[in-house]
Amino acid sequence: MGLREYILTRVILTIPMVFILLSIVFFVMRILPGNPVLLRFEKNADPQLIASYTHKLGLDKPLYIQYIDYINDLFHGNLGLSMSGDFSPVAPEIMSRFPATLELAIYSTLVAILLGIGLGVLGVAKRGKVDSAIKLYGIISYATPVFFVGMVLQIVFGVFLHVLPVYGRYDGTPPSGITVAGIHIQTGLYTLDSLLSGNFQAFLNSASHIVLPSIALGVVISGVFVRITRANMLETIRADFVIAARARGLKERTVLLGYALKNAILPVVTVIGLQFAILVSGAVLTETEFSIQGLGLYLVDRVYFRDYTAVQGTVVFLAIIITTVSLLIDIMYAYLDPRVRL
Amino acid sequence: MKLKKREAVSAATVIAIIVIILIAALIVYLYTTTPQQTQTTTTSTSQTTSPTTTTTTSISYRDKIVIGTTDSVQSTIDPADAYDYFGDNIIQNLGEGLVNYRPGTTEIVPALATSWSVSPDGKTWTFNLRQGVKFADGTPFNATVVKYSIDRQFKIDEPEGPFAGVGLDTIINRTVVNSQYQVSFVLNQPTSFFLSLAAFIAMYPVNPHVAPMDRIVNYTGNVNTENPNGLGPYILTNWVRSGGKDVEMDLTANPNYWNASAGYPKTKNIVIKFFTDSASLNLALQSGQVDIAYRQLSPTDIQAYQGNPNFKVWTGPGTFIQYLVFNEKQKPFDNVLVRKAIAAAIDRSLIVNTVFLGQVQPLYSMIPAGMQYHVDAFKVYGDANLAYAENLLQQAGYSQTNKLTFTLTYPTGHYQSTDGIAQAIKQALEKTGMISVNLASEPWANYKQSTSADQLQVYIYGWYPDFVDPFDYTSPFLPADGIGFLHTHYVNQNMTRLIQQAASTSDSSQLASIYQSIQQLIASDAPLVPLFQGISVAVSSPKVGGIVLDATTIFRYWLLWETA
Amino acid sequence: MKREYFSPSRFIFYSILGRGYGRAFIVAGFSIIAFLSTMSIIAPFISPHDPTKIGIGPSNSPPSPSFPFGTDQYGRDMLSRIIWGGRFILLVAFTAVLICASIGVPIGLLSSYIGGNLDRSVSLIMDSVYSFPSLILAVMIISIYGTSVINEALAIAVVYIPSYFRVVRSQVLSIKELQYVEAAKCSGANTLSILFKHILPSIISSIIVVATVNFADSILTTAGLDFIGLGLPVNLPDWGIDLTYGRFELASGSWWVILSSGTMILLAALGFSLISEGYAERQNPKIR
Repeated sequence: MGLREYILTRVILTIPMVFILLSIVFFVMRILPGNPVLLRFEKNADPQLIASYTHKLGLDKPLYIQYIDYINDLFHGNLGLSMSGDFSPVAPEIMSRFPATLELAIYSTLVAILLGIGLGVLGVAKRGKVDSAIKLYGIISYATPVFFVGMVLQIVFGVFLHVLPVYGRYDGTPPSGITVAGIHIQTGLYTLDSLLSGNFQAFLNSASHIVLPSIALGVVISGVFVRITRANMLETIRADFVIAARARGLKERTVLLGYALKNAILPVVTVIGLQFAILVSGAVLTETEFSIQGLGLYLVDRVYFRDYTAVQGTVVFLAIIITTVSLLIDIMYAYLDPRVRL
Repeated sequence: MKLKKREAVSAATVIAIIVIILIAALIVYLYTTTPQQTQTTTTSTSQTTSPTTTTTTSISYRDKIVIGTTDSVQSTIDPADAYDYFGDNIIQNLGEGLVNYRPGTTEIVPALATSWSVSPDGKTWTFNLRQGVKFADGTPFNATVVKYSIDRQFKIDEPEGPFAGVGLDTIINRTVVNSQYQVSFVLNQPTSFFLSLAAFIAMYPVNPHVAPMDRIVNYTGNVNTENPNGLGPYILTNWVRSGGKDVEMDLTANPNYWNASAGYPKTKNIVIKFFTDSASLNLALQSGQVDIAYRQLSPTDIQAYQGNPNFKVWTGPGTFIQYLVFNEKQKPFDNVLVRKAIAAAIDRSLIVNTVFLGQVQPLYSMIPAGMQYHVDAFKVYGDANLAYAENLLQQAGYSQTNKLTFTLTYPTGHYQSTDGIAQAIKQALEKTGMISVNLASEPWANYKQSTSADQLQVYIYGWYPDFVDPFDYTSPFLPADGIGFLHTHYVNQNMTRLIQQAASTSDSSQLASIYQSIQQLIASDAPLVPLFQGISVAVSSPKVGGIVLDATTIFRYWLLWETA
Repeated sequence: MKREYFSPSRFIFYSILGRGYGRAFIVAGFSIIAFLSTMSIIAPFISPHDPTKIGIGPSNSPPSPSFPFGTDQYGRDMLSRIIWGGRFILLVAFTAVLICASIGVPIGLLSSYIGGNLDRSVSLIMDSVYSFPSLILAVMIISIYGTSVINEALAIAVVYIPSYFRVVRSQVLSIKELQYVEAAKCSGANTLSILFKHILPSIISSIIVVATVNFADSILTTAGLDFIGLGLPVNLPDWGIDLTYGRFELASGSWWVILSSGTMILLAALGFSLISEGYAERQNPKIR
């Protein structure tokens, strides 16, 4: 199978998967008998008001029509109307929240990869006690609640050392991005926007905010990276070409970093995909802890306000993102490692 | 092979360079921020002090104060809609009433009105308005604006808003423009506390060009269209709200403020940062990200700050009360003996000292101590009066073997330490040996619904005043039909009559006896049991001054200052 | 040919006592879990105080001889709370594992044994749920159905069903063709008896490995739900709740509340992770 065919098959397979996930979300949200609008209002609220809300949200239609509407809306990028306040659409709110979560995800994955690969290599290079300790680190970091790590970091760096902010994403008005040839580019990733607008002070401001949250989340995810790097390095180290390189009298460092690591790093890509679910769960907790106004905090807030359409919209959005990411990573992996396509 | 090796090395080098740059950038930032801060403050200092450099004082003030809170505007900052503590407080800083309270007291002083009078029958209140006041867009303030604002309240008639909430829709009959700068309110009946109502945000004038007659002004993300206020000490320059919760609000001094010539507001810029919980707020205060933390730090935090020289703890009388509610539709709470037994067995010192570490005061009436006409009516029961409680329970048919068993429900995510309060009540009641209490909790939204649906037996609620008058601590809890927002189903003709009298009497000795009767009747019928009264607490950096916490519960940003 | 049937107790017994790679991890893991479960079960007999009673000691007092783990903000005894605190979190995790194993395993067995289009569709459904974050789905489910041990367990279980399904399926596909299964088929045994009598016993060790990972994740998800306020009622003694609420006292210096409760959650998750790591090491020589 060629690369093109592989990608095609993978994409075609993704469509029913997204569809199944969306249907599960819909039916979990709707299986409850009764009117979700009632959950929002006091039980003795004006029946006319409830009826008008019900109608506005399309909840007076039969379930299968609601389902068709829901899927149809999704195709048009419409995630429904919020049940709170003035029925503002959910999708723009989610889009405005997404960059915060994305930024956290990027930096914590970076931390996890650096930590994971670094420690993994170190363990294989030293073996013995160091290796055992690193192996144990891999297991313990996985078993630690991310908010426990966050608490400790906040106390040490925020309260005792007073060196890093423990709250939010930015002090002041966030960077505005850059306008190139009349097109305004603003990603919402504050570290990137500030660099785009050439404001170094703003970059440091946003970077200092992201340090603690991404370390907290990164440490927890790094455990799996440590394990996978270790396992793959150990395997490649025993491979013929590495033994050959050793036999030719190359330095151990060159063998490890130049040969073993390079070949061991490939499978780490697939782990990023598998880790994505843990990353998203962890982001919800990290955002809550560090008051980062991302999707996770939005989800938690909306649950508190009993805003079911917003909750459903956020979950659907995350479902699509997760499926897309795992698709992209599979394709990338297939591109890098031709064996997958076989 | 050689080529591959070089590739690997270069990849590693790139990663290493990125890491080094990031770390270096961070170090540079950490070293540059501190001097940077002093730089900006010195420039602002030279600006503010330059006209008076010849004077002897060399104290310089910062032009920005950051306030942290766990509150949030519930929905809007429109006086026709906002009926939550923080929404009202923002309106009190962005808007202005005809009259206002003198900071630190409950004395009514002129604000947008310079003088006022009441007709002999007590039904017509006339206000002379301040001249030359205008909104930011140039709209002049006059009697027409006042009439427009009140008419708008009637037109919108938001049932859950502040206007109907305090009963202004039934008190005011009409608003009359006498001249450009004189306005009269004709009331349906004489109302003794009308001046207090005139100081309440529901009567604050709004800008007719921002606030349409028939529609509540919602959050839009544009400060020119979402803020109908505009006569107060501050104007709103930035409001970030996301997912129904506030993220940040920036206020800057209103150049058109009527009292600007007196030097108000003291600090030009106020930044309000909103936190998800008291832990984050506390961390931000300790790490220096906020200058003032107001509402709500936990009792433990406050206790820790009290001994800390790097912080200043400000306290004021609390007009916040919490109380126990019985739903009399739920048996056996229709039996007054049972309610009285519980009132007698409750141990307020356990709540005050163990749950709140002494930071609240025990409360023996629905009208808090320190307010006019307060009487310690519930002292007839005493605290933890087990003998009396057991006696009452026996009369009601309970014993050590046939225990009174019920569920006490408390809300989460709204008031502080409700789990501790509930546990304290459970422990005190179970000491009688004749009561068995199950505890249950519900998130605030569900809790209110369950209350309205008459699903709860015994539950906890709290109250902040809308206006500073004992009427606001009796009438809302004791509606004639026994429903209201508490759903006590307590109906007593005498009570209803007394409350009507309280509304229309203006003679203070008569009022004293009426309120005494009301409080004693609450104690003897025990439809509600007052538990404690809070103390307002703010914690700030020691350089901050001007925090005034008084019985009005208004947090005035315009009095705040901070030395550099 | 007589086939030795699988017995879980013997499996565990041998894996602890038997020599082999990963033994240290397995022994450590089982010891931790045995310790925590025993402590939770006998909590009423060993707890020095009522864990919910306030005002037993002074508020926020550091560890001392009379309160070895200190007290929390309401003056409750932390040692008693720690002893009782595993009951709910472990119960939720246990229920979740039970639910998803008893759904995932039979579906995996049947689907892969029958094969064909049915297997393909079921696999597709399982694959789409597989990578979904458990906490998000749990938040969604609990936001509608409310908090209870069963709801939490169900919410966590849904996401884990595919893990069992996938492991069972891959094993069945390879075992299906083996001689003894073929022999059973020829001897006229019906599908169900082949599946449950002949195939299931030989894949139990793989299921146990999945279950241990599932256990660890359920514990962390339950604690996560407590942290965002969707957990059990806050008046219950529970590690997750103590860790969440201890955070409010942390900046004021009460480190002992989060240290003890956080360590207990970590230990519980670690115990199960160690077991799974031990088996992984035993089965996979690569990572030794």
